[in-house]
Amino acid sequence: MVTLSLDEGLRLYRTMARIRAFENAAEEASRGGVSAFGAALSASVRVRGPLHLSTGQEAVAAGVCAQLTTADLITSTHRGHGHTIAKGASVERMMGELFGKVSGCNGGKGGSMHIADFSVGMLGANGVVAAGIPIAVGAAHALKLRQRNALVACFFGDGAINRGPFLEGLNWAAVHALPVLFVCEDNRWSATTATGAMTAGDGALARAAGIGVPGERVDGNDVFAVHAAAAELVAQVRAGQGPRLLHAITYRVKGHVSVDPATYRDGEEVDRALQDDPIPAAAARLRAAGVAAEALAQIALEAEREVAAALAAASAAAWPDRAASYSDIQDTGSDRWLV
Amino acid sequence: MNAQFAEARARVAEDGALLRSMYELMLLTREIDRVAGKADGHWHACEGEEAVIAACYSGLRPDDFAVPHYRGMLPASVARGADLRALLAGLAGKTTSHSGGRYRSDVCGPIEHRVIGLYSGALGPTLSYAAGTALAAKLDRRDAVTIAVFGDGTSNRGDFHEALNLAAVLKLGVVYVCQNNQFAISTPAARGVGARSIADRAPGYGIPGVAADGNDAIGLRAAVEIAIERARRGDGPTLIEALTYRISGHLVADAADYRPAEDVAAWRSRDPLARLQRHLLECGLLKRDEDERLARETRERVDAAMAQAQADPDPGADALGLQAVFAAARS
Amino acid sequence: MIRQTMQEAIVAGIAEEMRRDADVFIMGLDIGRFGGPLNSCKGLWEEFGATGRVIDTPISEGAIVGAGVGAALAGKRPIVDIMFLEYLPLVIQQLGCDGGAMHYYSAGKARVPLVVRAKYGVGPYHGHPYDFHAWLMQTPGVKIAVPATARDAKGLMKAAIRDDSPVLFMEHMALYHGLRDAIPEEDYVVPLGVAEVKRAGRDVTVIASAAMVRRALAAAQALAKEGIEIEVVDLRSIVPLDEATILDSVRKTGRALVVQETVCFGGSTAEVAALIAERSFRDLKAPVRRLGTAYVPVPFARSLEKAAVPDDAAIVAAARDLVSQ
Repeated sequence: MVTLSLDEGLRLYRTMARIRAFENAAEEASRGGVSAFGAALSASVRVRGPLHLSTGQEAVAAGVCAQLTTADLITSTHRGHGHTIAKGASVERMMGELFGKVSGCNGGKGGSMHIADFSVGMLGANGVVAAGIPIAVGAAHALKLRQRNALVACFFGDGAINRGPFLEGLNWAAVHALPVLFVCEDNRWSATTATGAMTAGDGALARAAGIGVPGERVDGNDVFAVHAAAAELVAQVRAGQGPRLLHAITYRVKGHVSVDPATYRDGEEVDRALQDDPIPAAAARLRAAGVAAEALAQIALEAEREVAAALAAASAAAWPDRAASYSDIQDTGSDRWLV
Repeated sequence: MNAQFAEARARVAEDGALLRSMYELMLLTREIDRVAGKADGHWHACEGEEAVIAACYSGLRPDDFAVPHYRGMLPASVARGADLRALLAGLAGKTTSHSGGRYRSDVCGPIEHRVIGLYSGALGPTLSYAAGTALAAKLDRRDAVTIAVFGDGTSNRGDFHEALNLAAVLKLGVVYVCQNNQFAISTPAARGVGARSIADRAPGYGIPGVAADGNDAIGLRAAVEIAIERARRGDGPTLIEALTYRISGHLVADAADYRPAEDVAAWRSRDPLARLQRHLLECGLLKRDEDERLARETRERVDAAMAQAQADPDPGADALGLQAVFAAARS
Repeated sequence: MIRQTMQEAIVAGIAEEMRRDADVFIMGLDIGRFGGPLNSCKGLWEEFGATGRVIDTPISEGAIVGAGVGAALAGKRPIVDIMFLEYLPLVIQQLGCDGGAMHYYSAGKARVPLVVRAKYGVGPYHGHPYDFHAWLMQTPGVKIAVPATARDAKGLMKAAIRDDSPVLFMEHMALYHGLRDAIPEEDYVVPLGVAEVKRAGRDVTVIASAAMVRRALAAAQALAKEGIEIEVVDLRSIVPLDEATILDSVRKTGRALVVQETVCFGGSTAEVAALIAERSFRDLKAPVRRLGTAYVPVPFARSLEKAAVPDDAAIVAAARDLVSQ
């Protein structure tokens, strides 16, 4: 925290608190939203479909996005609520999207796994593992060609490093020295599989080094460490030195989707991870730096109020009109093709 | 140079029978270039890359699989035991080709000789087919290996990445060899490969990576043998990068004026065929008159096979094989 | 007879074939101890895990389907579970372009006995609904199985495993844990390329597959009360397409309604409609009608999803309209 002002520290804390409040509310609202992992579907559910929560991983989104400007872009994953909030999207419109309401940032068409907000440079979550990587690289190439002083932060999970687009994207970015910060948000689980068992070698950093993308490894549950490491790498990217990779080690404390009790993994492992919660850890550091407990409690309270208001607004919002099903794509530019 | 490699290289350098068969394959490859390039400007010539072909496809066991790069597919098929005339007939889709004219032999070798070729124009998927043949051997508890060869261009495809990780995780007996001729059609490797070398990627998969001189048939063969032994032991895959140079254009008809002529001249002077020939003659593993006879016989063999192949009939429209798309049940 | 869900019947079929033939093995993501998404492989690890024939893989769809092709070329009979049909585009090269061509291009010497399993469909899972099977209709050499009942699912799976060509095996998530079906206890297969008339009728032929068969049967009950008898043809395979069963039925009824949970444009509804138009035009009393999902990516909100996918009422309305012509 040497290089960090208290204001900046509190800003990081607030971002994490807002993400946590959002994920907790979304988790609750999605109970009964999907028939999987032994859970049954409920007719009265508010958020339908599989919801991938980033609970416990807030420090990665908060620490990295705090180094970005509004001109910078991000791409995200199926577990993308945290990145979206940290990049500045409206929590109310995000909740509306989760509900599938017309008030959502995608008008209810995308849902959690396709959430996007171009107005804040959030180019989209993605249901296909690693699919965001080439999109980020393409966006970065566009920034370079348009001579914009901006970069793309590309979030992906540990499972993504075993998919082809990881190599293709990183290699491309290295060849053209593109402004991309690759962020491997390593929560150690690929759906129900421990990623380590499926990954040859030493993981993201070793892979990236072999492809010509240098980087750093960081404790992804220490928001200040993430913030500092991201600052260093972002500075190198902005200086035109080419792409960098941040390997942030965290843990997926929830199941693969919100209704997944994750019975396939060792309870002790989860207990240990719960002890390593990034939010209390940040709180302790801020308290030690002189922040009053009340101030932190107030931040958490405000976050919960904001999310509660977003929930109420999403519940009250209208369903999209049936005709909206056919909008945004049916304009084929031809009145001779009536699908 | 580590001790294991030095020992293997010394052993290969003295193995007259192996080196002679490698030399014959290199001579044959150059002769095939001559006739195939003359017949069709679309031929992917192998000149300058013969050492990779000889080192990779010589001395395999019948139960091993070869998954060759397209540049070298046809000589690889010869090395696996396929008939030269049938292979050359496959350049023009003659009835006498292995596919009966259904496909091209320059990019797709015969499966009956445990060669897996390219069944479409896409490069990369064959690297996972190689993982699959090695997986089959592992499931059956056999020590057969698969050697899979690909270009520097293919090394940038996701298929490379997924296949190497899969082979490494499952400890499959595959030898992956990058035939790095420094050009993906017109794109120089420096504009295609972000890292310093392709072998550098191996540690990312936790497997040995070997940067080898692709014009030194003896050294490259030694590296391949070490990797084959590792694969047979069940210790998993190896990535070898054989650095060589594409003397020809991408196709014979490609003038390749996108690169400096002096580069081509410099690499021409490092001709792998002449280099092995020198070694064989200097070490007395081959006599000069034998060499001349070998050159003459190879030329005559290739000319004769090509003449026969060109005279072979084209398939008629009735051979389209509409009933041959799906495999019939075996009785 | 035993009563099983489609999921149970598919797994039972795989287990029987694994017992019957030591060359059969299965690989995919999360299929080991976890038992596969939606229990797609439940029990296989317990029975076969120790033999190394149930293989958990990395998230590398291209490589695992490719490894399936390679293992098949080397004499094994792999089953690859790619989880969701939404990922089919990631493996078209390996499964369709290459895997489909190998037998033909090798003059019959290569055989690729590979089954690729994929879940799809609008239903209770409410994610990964895409039905992309049409992508494989343009790569000759790959069969496509699409069961509507648990009984057919097991028989088709066993046929697919025994087949020497690559097969895409589609598993609709709305049918997966639904109705239990009476399954014969003895060994049986449902041959690929053979459709089945699931309900006989004289007025309209409804040609459908998977969940749309269930909807067509529900629509048939509603229509029967009005005196309209529809005949429901369950395709069961898209490739090879059972042209004879389709044409026999249309010749009898003179009216055809083709229903699929895919966009109509360029898909299997178009293929079936074209078949009927080319071969049975003079038998028709009304133009062929098609129902499919709207030409949009499957939307998320329930109201939009409902608007995009044909339901019982749409089938009833279309059939009624055909009869009135």
